[in-house]
Amino acid sequence: MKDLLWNAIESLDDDLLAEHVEKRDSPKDAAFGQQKKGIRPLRAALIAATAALLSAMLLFTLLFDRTPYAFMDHEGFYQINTGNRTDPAFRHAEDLVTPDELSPIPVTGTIPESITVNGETLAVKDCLLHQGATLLYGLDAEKYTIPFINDHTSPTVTVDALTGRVTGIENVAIDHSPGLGKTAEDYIGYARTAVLTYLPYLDGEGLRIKNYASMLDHSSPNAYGFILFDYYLGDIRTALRVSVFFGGGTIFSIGVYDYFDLSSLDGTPVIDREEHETLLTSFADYACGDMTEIQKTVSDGVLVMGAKGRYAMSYTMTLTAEDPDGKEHTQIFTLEIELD
Amino acid sequence: MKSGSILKSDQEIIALFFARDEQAIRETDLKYRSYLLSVAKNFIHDSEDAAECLNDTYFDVWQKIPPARPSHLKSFLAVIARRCAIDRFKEKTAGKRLPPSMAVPLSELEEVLFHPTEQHELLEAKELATLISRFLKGLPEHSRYLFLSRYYDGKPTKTIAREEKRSVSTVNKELKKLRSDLKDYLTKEGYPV
Repeated sequence: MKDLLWNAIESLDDDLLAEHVEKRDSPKDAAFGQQKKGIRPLRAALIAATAALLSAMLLFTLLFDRTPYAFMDHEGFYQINTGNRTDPAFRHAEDLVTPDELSPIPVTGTIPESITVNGETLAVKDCLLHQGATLLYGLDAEKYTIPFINDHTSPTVTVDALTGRVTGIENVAIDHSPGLGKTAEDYIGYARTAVLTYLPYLDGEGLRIKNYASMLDHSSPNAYGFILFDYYLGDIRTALRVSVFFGGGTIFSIGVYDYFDLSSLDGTPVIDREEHETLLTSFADYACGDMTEIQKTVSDGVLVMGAKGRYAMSYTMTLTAEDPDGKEHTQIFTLEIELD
Repeated sequence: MKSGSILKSDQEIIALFFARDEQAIRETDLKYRSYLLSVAKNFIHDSEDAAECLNDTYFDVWQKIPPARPSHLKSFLAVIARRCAIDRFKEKTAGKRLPPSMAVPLSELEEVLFHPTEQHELLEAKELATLISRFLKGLPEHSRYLFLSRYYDGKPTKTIAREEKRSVSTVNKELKKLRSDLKDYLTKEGYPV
């Protein structure tokens, strides 16, 4: 019977289906396929105001902030620094969102069981993963969300308002999976799903997607996993960068560095497992040096990251724990995505 | 799309179809080849099959336009390409024909529309499709969108709820109502449910 139904559904009226596909794939900003008409004046004003606010925050951060930070360079490697932030493109991720701007999204999987407060390990009572406000500065593009990847994420696709071409995908297959012990294959699997899911939206020949998947050691209960894409549309290189990852006082920023050459569209990684291992080692040497030292450096649970770009999205996870006196403590960890 | 190429507008391409000018196919291919290949690849992963599927798509579109004059050519092509891809998918996977993503949504419809002991093997999918199409056309836009999101796109209700900024239970309730309305409609039209 399912076959009959499936055949029937697939044989529905062409115009009806085309109208649906059009609606589904068009920019939406409200329920049931209501379509955007472009960046409205109010939105443009808000964007400008946001940009101004961010500039002020950035300036403040540059002048006064002395926290350690990590970032990924243009080769996809992570660098971790302490002390002064000298690059004006770097910002304090936690400054980018406020709780009011956050809306909860469903979280599945295992949440961290404990957080460290003043050196003491406290059991986590509550965990909330927020999707932060998307901050758009001066980008003349529409943004909209395309459904589905996995339960953890709500991917956003940026479409050039003039050409209708996809110019950016962010928040794809981001998985918050602290302590789950996921493997690199898991993350790469997510990435592959994401890539294949989004291919219909990527219009252009010579498409090449470079996928970086980060697998965390999970020795840290508060660690994050993430995935990001670099992709190429013809001669246009659009890079999407994600960085994050430390929480609760430890860093395990082990990067699995994976490329999918999707010119063949089959999602086959072009770097094999052995090369992964080499990259992992070189990454650790390059970015972290003495891991123990780095852990000490961020022992206060500072989370700062940055990447060059004009466009950012943040995810924040709030963990709440209660100490023996019944006092509640929260720790917030933020994930930020930037497009450069 | 190669940079520097001048692409015809959709209206110009449709006009070529109406003039029965084979250039219509070439222009369609130039403009939408990558996109349509991507659509096909959702169901078939072999490049050769996908390319053949594209040829089927163009042939089908050539048959349909005219008389059809799609208001959204790209989406119209996507629907046809998806259908061609599914046909190939079925050929390739005989015996295990239903994609996993569609199994649950179709079970929901099946539960409401068919009693297991009924004999429906003789029913034509086309006939059913015509009736469902008519039913959908009579629905408010948002209900139609909801129905097709679930039963054509195969989206999980959780995803639909998130997209539409509604609770999962609201979406489930609306879908249940739609299934029930569909059943009533089919009964009224003399379809054995």
